[in-house]
Amino acid sequence: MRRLLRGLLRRMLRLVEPRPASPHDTSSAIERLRARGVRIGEGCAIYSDFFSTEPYLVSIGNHVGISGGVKFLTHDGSAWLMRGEHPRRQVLGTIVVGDNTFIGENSVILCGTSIGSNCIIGAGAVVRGRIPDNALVIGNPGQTVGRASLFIEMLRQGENSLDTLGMEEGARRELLLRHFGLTAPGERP
Amino acid sequence: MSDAAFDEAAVVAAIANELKISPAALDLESKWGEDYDLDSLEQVRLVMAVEDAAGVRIEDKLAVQARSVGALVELARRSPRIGKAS
Repeated sequence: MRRLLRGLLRRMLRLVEPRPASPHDTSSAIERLRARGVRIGEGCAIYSDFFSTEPYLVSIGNHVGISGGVKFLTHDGSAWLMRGEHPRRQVLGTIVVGDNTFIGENSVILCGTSIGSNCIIGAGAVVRGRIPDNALVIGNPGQTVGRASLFIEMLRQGENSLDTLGMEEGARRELLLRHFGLTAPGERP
Repeated sequence: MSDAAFDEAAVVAAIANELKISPAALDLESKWGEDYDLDSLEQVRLVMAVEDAAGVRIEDKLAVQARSVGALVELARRSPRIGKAS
């Protein structure tokens, strides 16, 4: 009886809980981050909730894409070594991300970093300091290796650049399996 | 736009360096996709290396259309000079 009631309650909660309209809608996550003090512009998609212990020191511009696993570190933990002499000392810094920038999976953005507009931060990059507009940054330590606009042009022309976003999932799956040669034409995936 | 100071040998050397082959082995007709299998990031690095060697700024949309070594060298020759970074 108790199990039945618990199941019923869980189902009811699922009905009232706001859910994103699509896997690409992160608006409820963004609202939660704003409530914690992160300044976030319009039209963003944010798949990470790691905004350190001072989320109010982070500012995100408009139309910024932040992948899962990205960490914003607003303090320098190595201040630990000063604690003997300065028990309350912390070293902190702001983080600013400009408009229309993309930050790849599992990147780490360190305190005192300003990333410009129209930038691409590659997956796993560890970024510190000032990153100019239109920079393509990869690696640890993160280095600017080119123009993001040039990379986008290269991607646009690539054979795996496909208009699949928003497709019905079955049709999308079929198209992708066929595109990558994982199923014969006419065969059901 | 043509530039008398264009250093073709330096540009060819930069391309060979990015492709990790000797400049003498570089075929001007060879293509990034078919002959070297470069991905998008490698192509960006290549264009940046050419820009640096030639002291030019290559327009993004034109860089994408330069599919061979020779085409990229010619594009660098015609691109506006900005001065060498080093």
